Amino acid sequence: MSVARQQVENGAQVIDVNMDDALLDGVQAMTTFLNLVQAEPDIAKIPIMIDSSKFEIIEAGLKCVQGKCIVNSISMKEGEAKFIEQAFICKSYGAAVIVMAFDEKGQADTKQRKVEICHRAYKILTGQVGYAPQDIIFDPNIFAVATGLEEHNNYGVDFIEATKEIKALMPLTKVSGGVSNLSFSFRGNDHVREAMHSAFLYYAIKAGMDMGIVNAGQLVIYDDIESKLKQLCEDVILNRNNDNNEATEALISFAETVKAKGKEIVKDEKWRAESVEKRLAHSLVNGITDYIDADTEEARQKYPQPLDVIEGPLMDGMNIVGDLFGAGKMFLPQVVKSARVMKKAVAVLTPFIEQEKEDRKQAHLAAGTKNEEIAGAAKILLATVKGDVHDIGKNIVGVVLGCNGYDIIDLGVMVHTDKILDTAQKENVDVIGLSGLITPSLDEMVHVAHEMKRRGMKQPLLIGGATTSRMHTAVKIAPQYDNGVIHVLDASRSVTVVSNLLNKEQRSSFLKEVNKEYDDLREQFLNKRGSKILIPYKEAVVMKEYFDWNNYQPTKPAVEGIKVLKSFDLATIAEFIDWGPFFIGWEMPGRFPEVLTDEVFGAEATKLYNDAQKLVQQIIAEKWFTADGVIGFWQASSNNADTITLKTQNGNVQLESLRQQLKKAVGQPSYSLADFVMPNDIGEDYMGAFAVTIHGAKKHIDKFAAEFDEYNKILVQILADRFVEAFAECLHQKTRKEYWGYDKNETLTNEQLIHEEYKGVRPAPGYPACPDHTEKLKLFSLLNVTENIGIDLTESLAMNPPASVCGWYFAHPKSHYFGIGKIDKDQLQDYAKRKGMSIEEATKWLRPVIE
Amino acid sequence: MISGTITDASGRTLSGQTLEAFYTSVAHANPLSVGLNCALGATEMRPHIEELSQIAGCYTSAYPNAGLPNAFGEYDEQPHQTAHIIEEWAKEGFVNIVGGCCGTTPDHIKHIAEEVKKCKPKELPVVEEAY
Repeated sequence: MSVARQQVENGAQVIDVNMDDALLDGVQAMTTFLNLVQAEPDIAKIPIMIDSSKFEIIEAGLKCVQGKCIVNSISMKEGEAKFIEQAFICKSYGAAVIVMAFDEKGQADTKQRKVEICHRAYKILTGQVGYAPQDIIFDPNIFAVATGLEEHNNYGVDFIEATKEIKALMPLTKVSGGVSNLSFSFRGNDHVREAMHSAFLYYAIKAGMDMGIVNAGQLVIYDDIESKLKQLCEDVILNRNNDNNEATEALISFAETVKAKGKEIVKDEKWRAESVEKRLAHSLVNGITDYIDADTEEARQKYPQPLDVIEGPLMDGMNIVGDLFGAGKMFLPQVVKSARVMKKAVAVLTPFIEQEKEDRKQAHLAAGTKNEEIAGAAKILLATVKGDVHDIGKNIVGVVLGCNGYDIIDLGVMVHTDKILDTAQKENVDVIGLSGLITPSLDEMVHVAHEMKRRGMKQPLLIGGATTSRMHTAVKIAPQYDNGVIHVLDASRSVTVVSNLLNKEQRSSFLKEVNKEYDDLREQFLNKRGSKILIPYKEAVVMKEYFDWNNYQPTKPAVEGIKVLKSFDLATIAEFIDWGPFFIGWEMPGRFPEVLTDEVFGAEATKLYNDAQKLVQQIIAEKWFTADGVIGFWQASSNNADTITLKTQNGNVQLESLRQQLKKAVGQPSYSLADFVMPNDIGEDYMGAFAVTIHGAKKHIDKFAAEFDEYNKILVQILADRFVEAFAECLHQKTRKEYWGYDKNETLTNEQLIHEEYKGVRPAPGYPACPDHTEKLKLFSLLNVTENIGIDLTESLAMNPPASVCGWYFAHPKSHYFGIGKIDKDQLQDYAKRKGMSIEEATKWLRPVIE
Repeated sequence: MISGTITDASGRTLSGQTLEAFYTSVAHANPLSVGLNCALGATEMRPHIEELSQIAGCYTSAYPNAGLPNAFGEYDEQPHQTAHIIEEWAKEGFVNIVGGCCGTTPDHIKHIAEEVKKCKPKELPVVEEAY
C-alpha cells in the first residue's frame, strides 16, 4: 500500500496492480489488495489498472473496484473466441481494456503487424462486443532496443510509427505501452534507463501515445537530460547512426562511465520538519502510520504524562479530522484511517500508562492507602436502534472510542430496546450510545430514553446519527431521562463527551452545562414553533393526557375554603429565594452559584451578591416589606375536555383551559391544565388557588430614586420580586405539606424546589400553560384577593403592587409545567364560546398564542 | 434506468465518488436514463442535476426530497415550492423524468406534473461519428 501511495504522491495517473507471482494465490491477493485500495481515498482517487496474465485474476479484480477501471490486458493470442468472451466480461463490469498487439501467431513486432492486429481487434470489439472506441486502449508492444541484436534496433521506431497510424485509423482509441521494456538491456543503470524512457516518451507522445507504464518516481524531465546522453539515447531509440550497432555501442560505453547514483525517493516530507504536535496532527489527518510510533514516543518524552499526549496533541489532531469531516473535506474512509493512526499512537502509550497505574498501585500498597482506581477500561455500549440498519457512523465512533482506550460493546444494527438495556445492565456499562440514520429512529431513541428512566438506570445516554440533532435531543429525548442525554455531533466529539462523563469531577458540571443548553434550546423551540403544523382542536382533545385516575385517591384539603396569611415571616421567605433570576435581572446570565466565579463577571457578581445579602438582612430586620397571601381550595372536576368546574359556597365556577394543538410525535399527548383534574365521570377531585404580594417596596424604591441611588433602587425592586416569588414557593410548600396536605412528608432542599421536583404544579394565569389573563378575574373573585390582601388588577389585568404572584394549585403527582404553544382558529372559536366572549375579544386576549 | 445519490454539499456519493465518476462508472450499461434521487431537496440538488445533464449521454431523471428534513425528521417544503424549483429545471432542459423522493406526497407529484407538462424534455446529445 505504501508503494501505491508513493506512486500517487509522485503523480501517477493510473495505478497498475499486478499480483502475478508463483508464490501468490493471485485471485486472493488481487481481491485483498484492491479492497484495501478502495479504502484509501488518496490512492483510490485515481483509476486502477488490473494487470494480470491470468484472466481469472482480472475478473476477481473487476469485482472489487467501484469506479471505472482498466483491464491489462486481453488479446487474440488464444484465438478470437476467447478474446470475445473475455471482452464481454470486461464490458459487463464497465471496464476499459488494454488490447495487446498479439494474435495467434505471436506478438506483433513490426509496424505493419502492430497496426493490422490492432485494427482487427478494434473491428471485433466495436462490431461484435459493443465496446465504445474510447474504452479501447492498444498496447502495440514496446520491445527492448540496444540488445546487440540488429533486428531489435528498429523496435522503438516501429512502436512510434505504429502509434501514429493507429491513432489516425481509430482516433477515439488510446495507445499505451510498457516503457521500461525499452531499456531492458541497461538494467542496473537507472540513470541511463530514465534518460531513455524520457527521450522515448518525448517522441512517442508526439506520435499520439496517450499513456505508458513507468515508475512515476523515476522519470527525468526531457530538457534536463544531459545533452550527450540525450543524443545517444535518441540515436538508439530512433535507430539513427546505428549501422553495425554504432549507436548502441556508443550508449553502452557511455553508460559505463556514469555511475548509477541510486536516486533518492522524493516524497513531500516538508512536514517532517515541523513540531511534534504538528507532525502528529499531519499523520492523523493524512492517515500516515509510517512515523507515528517515533513521533508518539517523542511526544511522550516531551509531556509530563503519557495520558497528556492523548488528551493534548492526539485529540487536537482528531478534532481537526472531525472538523474537516464535518466540512465535507474528508470522507468516511479517511476518518477511519485517522482512527487507525490514533490507535497505533495509543498502542505506543498504553504500556506507559499501564506502568504508571501499576506504580500508583504499588505506592498505595506501600503506603497502606486505598487505591480507588477502577480496574479495567470504562465500558461503552453502542447500538443502532430497532428498525434501522445504518451503522457507518456508529462503527466510526466505536473505532475512535476504542482507540482512546475504552472497552466497546457493539450490539450492531436493528437492536431492540430491551436487548440494549439488558446488555447495558448485565455488563454494567458506563455509557450507552445510540445511533440511527432514518427518521423513525428518532422516536425509537425517545423510547429507549423512556425505558431507561422506567428501569431506573443511571448511565448517561449518547445520541448520534444523521437525522439526530441537538434540537431534537433537547426537545424530545432529554426530557424522557434524567441522568444525562447528550447529542454527539460526530465521532471525534464522542471522545471529549465520554471523557467528561467518566471524569468524576467534571461529570456533574458537564451535565449541568448540557442541561442548561438544552433548556435554552427547548425555550427557543417553544418560541419559534410558530410555523409548525397544528392539528384540529377536536383531535387535540382526543389526544388529551390520561392519568391513572382509577388508582388515584384525591386528598381532601386540610384548609376548607379560603385562608388569608397577613405579614408572613420575612426571614422564612428569604430562605426560599432563588438567586438565579436575581442575576439574570442584573444581566449576568449563568447559574447560581457558578455565576459568582464566572471568568468575565464573577468578581462583580460576588460584590453584588454581598450587597444584596446585606440588604435582605436589613429588609427583614427593619420590616421594609410586608408579605401578604391568600389561598383557597375547592372541590373540582374536569369534563374530559378543557373545562374545570369548581364547587364553591356561592355556586359553581367554570375555569376554561387552552389545549396544545401543535402536531407532536406519535403518541405524545396534547397538554391542557384540565387534564390534571379528575374527569367528572370518574369522581370528584380538588383544586386550589393562591395570590401573594409584597407591600412596602414602593416607599423605599421612591426614596432611593429621590436620592438618585439607582443601584439600591433596582436592588430593592429586584429583591421585592425575589421575595414574592420566594413567598409563592414557600406557600406552595406549606400547601403541599400542611394546608392541602397531599404530600405531608415532603423533604426537598431549596435547590430541588428551584428545579420543581415537588409534586403538583402552581401555574399562573398569563403564563405559558394558561396564557389567558382574563382567568385571573375568576381567581381574584374566588379568593377575594383585592379585599383580602390588597392587590389591584389594572385594565390589562396586570397586578399592582408589581411584586405579586397568583396561580392555580394542582395536586396530581403527574401534573407538570408546559407551554401551550400556538392554537388554531377552531380552538379560539370554541374557547370564546365557552367563555361567553366575542371572537374579537377572545382574539385580543389570546393574540400571542394564535397561529 | 439508474439513479444515484449525492449525499451532501461535497457533491459526492457516500463512498466518495464525484458525479462524473459515478456516471463514468455506469455509462457502459447504456442506460435509458441516469439520475439523482434522495438526500437533498430540490434547491440543494440543482447544481448536481445541472452538471449531470451536461455530462450524461442518455436521458436524465431527478427525484429530490421535499426539502431537507427539520430537526424532527419532518419535511416542511410544500408541493408548490418543490414543483416551482423542478419546473425551472425542466425549462432549462436539465431533465427528462422528474418525481419526488422522501417527504414528497401525491400532492407534490401532482403539482410537479402540472408545472412540467408544458416544458420540453431535455434533448439527447448527438455524438459525432468518428469512424
